[in-house]
Amino acid sequence: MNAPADISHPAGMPPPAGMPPDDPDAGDRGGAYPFASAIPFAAHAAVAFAGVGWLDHLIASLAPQAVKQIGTSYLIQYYHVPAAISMYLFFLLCAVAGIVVLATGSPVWDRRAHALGLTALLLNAIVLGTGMVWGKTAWGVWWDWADPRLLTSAVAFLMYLGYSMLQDALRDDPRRAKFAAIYGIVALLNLPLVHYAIKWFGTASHPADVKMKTPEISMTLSVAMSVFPVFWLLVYRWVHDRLALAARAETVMARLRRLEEDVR
Amino acid sequence: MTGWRAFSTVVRWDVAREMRRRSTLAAMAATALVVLFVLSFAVDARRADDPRIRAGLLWVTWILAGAVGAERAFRGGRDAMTDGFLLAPIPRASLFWGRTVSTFLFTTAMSALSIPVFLVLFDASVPSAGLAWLAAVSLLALLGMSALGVLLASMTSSVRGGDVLLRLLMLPVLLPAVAAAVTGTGQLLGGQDPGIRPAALLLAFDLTFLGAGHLLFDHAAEDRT
Repeated sequence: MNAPADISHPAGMPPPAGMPPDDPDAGDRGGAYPFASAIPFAAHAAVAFAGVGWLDHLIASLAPQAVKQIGTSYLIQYYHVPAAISMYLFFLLCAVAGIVVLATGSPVWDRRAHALGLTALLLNAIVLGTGMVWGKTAWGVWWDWADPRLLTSAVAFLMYLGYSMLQDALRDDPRRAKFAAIYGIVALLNLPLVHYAIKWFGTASHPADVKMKTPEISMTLSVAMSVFPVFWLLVYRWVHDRLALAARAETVMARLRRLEEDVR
Repeated sequence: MTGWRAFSTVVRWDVAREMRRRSTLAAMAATALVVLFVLSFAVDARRADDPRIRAGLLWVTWILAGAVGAERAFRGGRDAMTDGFLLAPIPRASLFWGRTVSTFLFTTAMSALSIPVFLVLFDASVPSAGLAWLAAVSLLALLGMSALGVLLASMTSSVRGGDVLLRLLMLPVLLPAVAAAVTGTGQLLGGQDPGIRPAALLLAFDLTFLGAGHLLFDHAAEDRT
């Protein structure tokens, strides 16, 4: 999706005299990521979906072999592992964007941080879901209270749920950007602590990982690793553009209300 | 006013106000009492002889009561002190440290008050051998909880529905400290040696959130209305 057109003023008309500049990010039209405006949304989507299609084809060609050796559910790792890695990447980027917001107060980075946090939450849900399916076949249980990775993602899910609730609760508050940035940083700082806490104080030993190593499998996994970030960057871009659109609509509505009052 | 003097002023102000009104401590102690009673009904107190479960019940009580304390760190009625402080050219971090220390003192007092109730209700006893360790683990966990609570409460206190939001934000972040504290306390109540790990993790937790508070509090307390 391209950046929405500026509809706060009629085309070619300067803002009426006496009106304060009301565009929250006038002169600072950052996209979802650098050069986003040069890459059409459709092009990004085409690459992402082609990549996922290729990955699914590779996974499907592995299926007969996997079923013989371990079971089909093992194939879920091609979604689970790259989703988990992308999730941590998004957590990190969300905190980095938060640091930029605290340092500069930039609304562009605020929107990026917001979209990164929401996308990470969605990824987190996928990691938990695929992890549970995998755990059921590998270890025989849906939920293992001793697995540090599963529990770390569960705690992360709660933290980023809190992050999105904070964003929501402060929607009309000027302090929203800063507070959300602070919580994003706090949540990231907590992740290593959560990991070690569960590793050290978990109640049982972690079941051994299932490993299956053939050239096709490493090839599929590397395809998955490169396709996933591209796909989730697309999801992030979509979320980001929704937020940008909502912010712009808000600005236009505020302007209309002011004009209405002026007319009265 | 230097940072150190500002810090000690905040602590003395908070303690003096608490000595006069006793509102925070009363609220925390009442919460602890209610939670302990509910838990002793919910978990048959006579049969909860697994020390880890007992430790878990004790820490659930302290966390819920501690959240009440953190919530009140920035909401003691009209707080001229906080507002004046934020206007003055004093490093904001000293307000964070002062509030953290005073909240830590109140939380520790609440914990100390609730231990006898816990021991009676759950017919438990603390082995004297591990007493120093138990105190160390508890104090480390309560310090981290206070630091995190003060940092988050400085943001949520001025928001509508902020008390609910504070718990939503605080409890997941608190989980590693809870895991370490419950494990350590449980092993000590069971007469085992918990080793260095619970204390090490709690120390890391404290350093992380005291550091984060020191650096981020400036932004959290800005534009407070």
